[in-house]
Amino acid sequence: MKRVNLAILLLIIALIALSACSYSVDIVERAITKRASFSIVATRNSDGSITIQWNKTGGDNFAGYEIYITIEPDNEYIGYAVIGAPYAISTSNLFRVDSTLQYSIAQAFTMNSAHVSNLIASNGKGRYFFRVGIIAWDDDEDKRNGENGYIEPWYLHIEENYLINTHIDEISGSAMVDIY
Amino acid sequence: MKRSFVPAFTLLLLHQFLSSAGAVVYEASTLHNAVARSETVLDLFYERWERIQNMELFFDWYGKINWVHGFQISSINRGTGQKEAVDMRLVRAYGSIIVNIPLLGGYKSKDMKKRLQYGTGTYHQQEESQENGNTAGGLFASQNLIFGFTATGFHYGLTRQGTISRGNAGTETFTDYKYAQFFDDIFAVSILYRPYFHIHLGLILNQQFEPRDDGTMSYSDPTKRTKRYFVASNLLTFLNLNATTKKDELESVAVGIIVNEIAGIVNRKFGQSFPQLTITYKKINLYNDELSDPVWVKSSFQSNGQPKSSDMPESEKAKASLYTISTGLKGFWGKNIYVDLLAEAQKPSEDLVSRLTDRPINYSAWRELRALVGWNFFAPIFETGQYFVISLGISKYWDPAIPFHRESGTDYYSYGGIFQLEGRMFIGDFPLGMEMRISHNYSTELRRMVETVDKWVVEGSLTVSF
Repeated sequence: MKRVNLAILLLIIALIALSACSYSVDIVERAITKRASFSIVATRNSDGSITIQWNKTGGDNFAGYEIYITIEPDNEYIGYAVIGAPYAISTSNLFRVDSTLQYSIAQAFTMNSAHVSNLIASNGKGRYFFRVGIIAWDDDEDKRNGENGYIEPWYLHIEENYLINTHIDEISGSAMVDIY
Repeated sequence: MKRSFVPAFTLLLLHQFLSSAGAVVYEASTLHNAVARSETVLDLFYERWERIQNMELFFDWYGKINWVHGFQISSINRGTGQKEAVDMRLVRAYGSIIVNIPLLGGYKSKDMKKRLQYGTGTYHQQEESQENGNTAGGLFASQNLIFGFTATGFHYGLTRQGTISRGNAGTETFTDYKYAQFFDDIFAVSILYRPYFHIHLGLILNQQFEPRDDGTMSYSDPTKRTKRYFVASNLLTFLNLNATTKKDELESVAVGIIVNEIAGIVNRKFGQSFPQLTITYKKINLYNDELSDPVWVKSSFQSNGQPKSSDMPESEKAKASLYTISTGLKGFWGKNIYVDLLAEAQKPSEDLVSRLTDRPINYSAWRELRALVGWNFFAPIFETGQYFVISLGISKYWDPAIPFHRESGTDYYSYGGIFQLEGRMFIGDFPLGMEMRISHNYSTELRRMVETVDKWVVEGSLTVSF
């Protein structure tokens, strides 16, 4: 019995130590500031298309994946704009809906050659940077109601609710591709 | 090595990019100086323990996030391959948990809220309760034997914020890790048998990680890791003895006297009615001719006449200690007034040569002068264990690294100020503490990290203590 108590005490102390270690405080801060938390791979294919791949899956309130690209070529520090999402959230000619992105098991997005040609025509050739966002609903499923700003029933108005009741839960690091 | 006056972070980054080409670049930086970082994390450890002993706490959880904006860092843009000034944020996140387990004695009553009245300036109540035969004294009452465990962690690093347009779904921001990230931890055990002694024994773990180019980082592969051990003790409540070691080297040693406790031997009320008056002597091996130091020790030349550089042999590196003696007055004066006054004098053990000018430094006699005065707006309910203090402070801080980091001027000292709110209140029976600070060049911030000179520092923290 004493050994069990000692084991429990040691376990409690270990948990306490973990909860206040430097990694834990960083995890809290990076969650607040939405730090890039996983890596992706962007590949230019022989047919001119570009494939973005990741192996991170969504959490409990997963709503979809979104794909972003820098809004100018040759600038790592410029802002990003969405080019792929599970629903129609942008009217840009560079944006397209990919319904597979609504599933947590999705692990790739392809910018086909026509899509890439659009990009070159609009923004020019050069080096572009991509990121992937994991999108989550703002509320648990049982709270997606009118009181919390959802159009009810939320699942029958999923596209409208996606626009106003989701946020980026996790964001990937950048992956660059030369598009010429 | 060319020594030009440029912000040290810029140099730091130049080093990051040029080191592969064999270039040697100076990085005056508290971030890269594990000796200074160990002092910082230890100061926070002591700060929490001071609070715990004053308030006689079983449990203390403390979390703090500190952001410093406005670092213009010369960074390579991978889009062009060219350098450009990029706006970054210095992040400092701190967490601490302390658990005290009474092995002998301890607080017996179930009324934890009442116990928290001790340590908030209500010592007379404690005396009265003891005189009235009430045994429900504080946790650290005389001859209680307490075992304590502490875990303290500190993360420092630069991050860059970016924006993402989600089309009609709005715009959001994200951050990337940029450049070296530093993680310092303390794990310590404590034994307290007051009023005779208390002792803390601990390990300080300093680690450095390099993020990936894509802005992410793994915790699994530190590029640098050093261990230090420390002992911090108190004898007869008034004598503090602290030391830190690295391998076989005694890196710092400090001796302090708590004057109130000596005065308390003569007159207990006198000793406990005033803010705590301390006198502390410290020796720290701060300068080691390392890349992160702002000075060369003794001379800027090696024995063969060549200028000193970061890649010179170990045998050419000289060491210098910094001796300091300080007196401080800290705590509540009555129920309304809170004070934190400090004057610290300094003297290095060797001549030091500025890496900016190549000339010997005329070391200032004063390292730190600060005066902070606050007013407790919850004075009428102070004895319930609740307080809310608004404070203003001014300071002067001297450090040979200041000219490397300041935005203009070449002086080694900086005047600063702070505005802070600090309070504790009960949410039901749950004690919740909070602090909010805004400062500019305030000495306590510069002491923690001299890179923050000439920048605004915003800090928020939460505490749960009982």
